[in-house]
Order: sequence, then structure tokens, then C-alpha cells
Amino acid sequence: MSYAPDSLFDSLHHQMILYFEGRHGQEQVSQCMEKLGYRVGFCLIEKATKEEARVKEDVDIVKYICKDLWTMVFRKQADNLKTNHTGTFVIQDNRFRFLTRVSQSEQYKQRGELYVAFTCGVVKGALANFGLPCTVTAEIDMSPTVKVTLTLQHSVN
Amino acid sequence: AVVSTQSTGKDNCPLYVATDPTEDALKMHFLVHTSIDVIEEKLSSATAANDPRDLYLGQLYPNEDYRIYGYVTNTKIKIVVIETISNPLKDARQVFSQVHSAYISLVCNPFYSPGETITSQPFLQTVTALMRGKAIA
Repeated sequence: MSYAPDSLFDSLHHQMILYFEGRHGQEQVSQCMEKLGYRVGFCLIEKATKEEARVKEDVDIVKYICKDLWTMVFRKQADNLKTNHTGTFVIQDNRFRFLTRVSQSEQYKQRGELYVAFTCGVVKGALANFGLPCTVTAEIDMSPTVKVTLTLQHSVN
Repeated sequence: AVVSTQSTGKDNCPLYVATDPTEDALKMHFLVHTSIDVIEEKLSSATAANDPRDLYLGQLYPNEDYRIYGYVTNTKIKIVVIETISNPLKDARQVFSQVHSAYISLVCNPFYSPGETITSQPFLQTVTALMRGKAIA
């Protein structure tokens, strides 16, 4: 299976951020990107899970996100997954694709947050389609390492 | 021959119901409704020993006039197919697989919001053709 070059989507992603910024202002950018990501995540999961065996436990679902969904979107698996066993998970990616070309100095840190919104949306949409509504936030302590935190809205396990 | 097909969403609301005109639609609705209970029971009671991890659930419960098959996707969409005892389906899995593929195409359509009742022509045509026993290319 051949893939389009990564740079195509990287450029599109960058332009989407600039577009929303121009159209709606900087405060709305994250929201718009997250909504877009939501639908993408939702559809990706619908397509991808057709051939998979039934995924049951919440933990298995989150593991699926770290391995298979991350591979589909970023062509690599997430680097680390932590949980506190009460419905909160932290996915860590040490070379977050959309930030690898951004300089690591402090001045771009706030701007960097706009670049994780789409991914948060993808994760949120994916989990919603598995039937697990959740809130997703991301932190960038040291670019390009990004930690995505998911909090399941009800931990039933 | 397949007489009814229904897809149900995550919150158990029907997304789509198709019944052959020769059958009583209300009766089919009722049978599908009771099958949802059976499906939920199967899903929640699967033990480690007898859990095949398959999306296809097979025949749901015995009924003297009809055979009722179930299938649940990983995204909690339940599909139920009812057929008459005479002239049984050779391969129920195939039918479910094709309905599932049609559903995936539907979800990827940006004009469809997940959870809405399905009115998309391609989906309806696929299901109708499947019910008549024609294989889809």
C-alpha cells in the first residue's frame, strides 16, 4: 500500500490553522481544529475496526488508539501509555509529527498548542465511536514530546 | 429468503429498518426489538472460555417461523437480519459484511451525521438488493 508523502498533510494541517486563525481569530482555532479531528477520528475507527476482532475492555480500546490509530495517522506507534486505573490515560509521543519542524524555543510554545488540537479531536472522535465519551487535552512540556491526556467520562470496568 | 434487516445505533435507536412487503412490518419490528435484548445479553455474558471475539453473533434465539441472525460492530452498531425458514441464506456472514461496508461508506459521507435515521440512496439500494438475494459487486 503506498502512502502520500507526509509533507502533504503537514502542509494542509498548517494551512488549516492559518485559515481558521484568519477567519475566526486565534481563540477559536483550537475548537475548529478539534471538531474537524473528531469527525476524522470517528470515520477512521469505523473503517479500521471492520476487520478487527471485538475490542472489549476500556484499556484495550485505549491500547488500540496508541498502536493502531497512531500508526494510521502518524505511521508510528505512540511511545508511552500511562494510566491511573480510574479512567485517566496519558499517551506520550516523543516525536509528535506536527511539531518536529517547529523550533524548540519558548517563544513558539503557545503557538505549538494549536498544532495538537486536531490530534486531540481525532482521539476524541475515535473514542466516541467506540462508545467511550471522554475529554482530551494535550500538554507540550518539551517539544516535540507531546502528552495527550484522556479522561473517560464514566469508568465502567 | 431474507424478510427484514435492521440497523440499530449505539443507544439502541433504529437507524434503518427494511421489511419485505409480504411480511407484517410490525411483527418484524417486534422480533428485532427482542433480539436487541438477546444481543446485549450475549455481549455482556461472554466468558473468557467461550468468547470467539467475532463480530458475527450467529443465530440469536430459536423461533418457529424465522431465523434471526445478529452482528455487532466494534462501534456498537447492531445489525439484525431475519429470514424465513424455507429457503435459508447460504452465507449470513457475507450479508452482514456487505451491510457493514455500506454503513462504513455512509459514515464517511460528510452529509450524514452519525445517529441520524438513514436516508442515503446508495445504502438503501445496497440493503434492498441484499434482501432480494443479489450479491453486490
